[in-house]
Amino acid sequence: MNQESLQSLLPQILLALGSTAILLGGAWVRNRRLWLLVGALVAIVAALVAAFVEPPQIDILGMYSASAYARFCTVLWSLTVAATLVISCRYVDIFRFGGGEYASLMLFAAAGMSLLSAATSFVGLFLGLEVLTLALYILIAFRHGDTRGAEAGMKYLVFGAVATAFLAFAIALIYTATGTFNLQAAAVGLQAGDGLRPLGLAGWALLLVAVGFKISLVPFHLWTPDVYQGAPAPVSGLLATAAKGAVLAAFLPLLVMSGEGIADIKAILWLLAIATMLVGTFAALPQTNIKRMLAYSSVVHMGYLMIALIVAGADGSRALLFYLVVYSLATFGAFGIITTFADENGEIQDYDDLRGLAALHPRRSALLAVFLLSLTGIPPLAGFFAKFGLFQAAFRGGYAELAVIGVIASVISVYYYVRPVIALYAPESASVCRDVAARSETLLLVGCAAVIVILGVYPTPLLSLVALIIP
Amino acid sequence: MEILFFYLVAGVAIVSAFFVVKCRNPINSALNLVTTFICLAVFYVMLESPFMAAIQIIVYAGAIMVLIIFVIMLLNFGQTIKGRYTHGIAAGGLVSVLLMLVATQLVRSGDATGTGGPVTSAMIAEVGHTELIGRALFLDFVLPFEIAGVLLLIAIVGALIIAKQKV
Repeated sequence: MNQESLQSLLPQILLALGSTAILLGGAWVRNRRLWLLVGALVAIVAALVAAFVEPPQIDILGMYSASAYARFCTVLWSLTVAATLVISCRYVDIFRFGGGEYASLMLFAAAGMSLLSAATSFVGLFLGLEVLTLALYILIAFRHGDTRGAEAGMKYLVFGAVATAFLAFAIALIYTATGTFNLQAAAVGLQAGDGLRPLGLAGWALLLVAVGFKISLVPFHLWTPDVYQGAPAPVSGLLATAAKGAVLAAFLPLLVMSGEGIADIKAILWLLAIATMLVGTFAALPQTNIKRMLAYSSVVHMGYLMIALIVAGADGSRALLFYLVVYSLATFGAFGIITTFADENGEIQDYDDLRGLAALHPRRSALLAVFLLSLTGIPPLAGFFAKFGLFQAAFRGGYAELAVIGVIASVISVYYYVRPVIALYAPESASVCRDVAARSETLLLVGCAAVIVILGVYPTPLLSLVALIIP
Repeated sequence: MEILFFYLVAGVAIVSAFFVVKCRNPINSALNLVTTFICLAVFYVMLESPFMAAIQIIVYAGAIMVLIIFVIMLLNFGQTIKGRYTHGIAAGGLVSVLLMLVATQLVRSGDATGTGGPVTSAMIAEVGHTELIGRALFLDFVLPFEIAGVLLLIAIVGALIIAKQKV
């Protein structure tokens, strides 16, 4: 561990140290908003460092990389966490969260996510994933005396522990078969065709199970709606966006660079993608709770992203990154709006409670409509362009059947995305929520919506950035 | 002689593992689990890794076992008698035998990868097992070691948050 590797790890070290400092400071100064804003500041500084400070070396002790791709991911996750902290300001006051602890756990989660997506060895990957999930277990069950939150935390803990066991066993099997922890070498080693290849492939299958749990692909998605419903809304937003994105980002380079070695795995990925898109879509249709609907929506979107993983290559990777950014913006925005609607009585979740809210809160209702329509993929918004790029990559890569199923799923998705919007703009009003959102919340969400609209009309900046990262 | 000893210990390990599942009193199950752990420690000694054996005894047979018995006592499971479930044992036994066959087949069908690490038996004999592990932990793997420290910090903070009363 020399100075160069420490310098290359600077963003992650900033996040971890900032988090510890907030934890210490929180013991003396009990001001919730202050610590949340300090946390957001730390995350933004880490993002700036990752974006603009050139790391002296790319490879960090053979565990992590400081490549442009890894730094892009760090920027993305840090900014998501910063936005989540800003949006939580009013929320933590209402529900009397410990501000220092909340902010520090969020920053630990950000450190975990950025380590995870920068991992180049199984050791680094495992530790990054554990730091992330451990912080999330606690954030999900953060609300005291809330039985749903406790249930959600418990469910995520049990499922997460099982997934971790699968991951550990998978790493052991792959190590047995290839004799290396390095991700790329492990994937290449499988091509050798020696007698231990079945063992290695069994390891890869177990790895897929663990990943499937974390990003909720279909046979492993059952925890998703309950956890999203029970967790505090800003935490659900983080779970649906950055937490899943980090896992995907960690496995993208693996699948892209491994080539022939794990071609046999692609058949399983193909099945998982189709099952995820179809089952998620049909499970989302009858939902009458917006958080559960968004949970199934995130399942379906993970299915779309699986298409990009299967297509692989530069085409698929670029489409995946672009889609991930746009999806994260819209999903974060939707959960952000739910956060701003929260008051002492709890969060507004059922469509019945949303009825007629547009008359009381026209700005936030319009924003929620924009976010949901972007998730659907309605043309002027960025969601359309992202989906277009993804399905185009699938067609070019020779996976037309996946693209067709994706298009069908998106057409059906109009029904479940538009239902809450119709409830919002219903003429009669059933809601009693009269809370005014904080200015910072509104500004942040308007910013998200503006980026979605701008990227939908003029996507070139993000496209060229993504092309710069994945040559 | 050594092979005889191996089969003896293996037999004890399997029988005690079976009784972990079969015993109807949780405390008896826990005590059988200790026996299994100690047998595994003996295997580590036979594989010439005394450090692993010591860790196995200290961490598993010691600390974790105390924790398990503590939980059983705390939740008052000590008195409850588990119901009989012969079908479960039969099905579990069948699956275990199948898994064992598959595993043996896999291990026999292939050679090890041949990519040996820098640590050899001669080196272990010369430098010492514990020293090698210590060097690996604090030199080659110091970064994961630190991250594991962060992991423990998160766990402690989390336990406090979940357990303490309202702020």
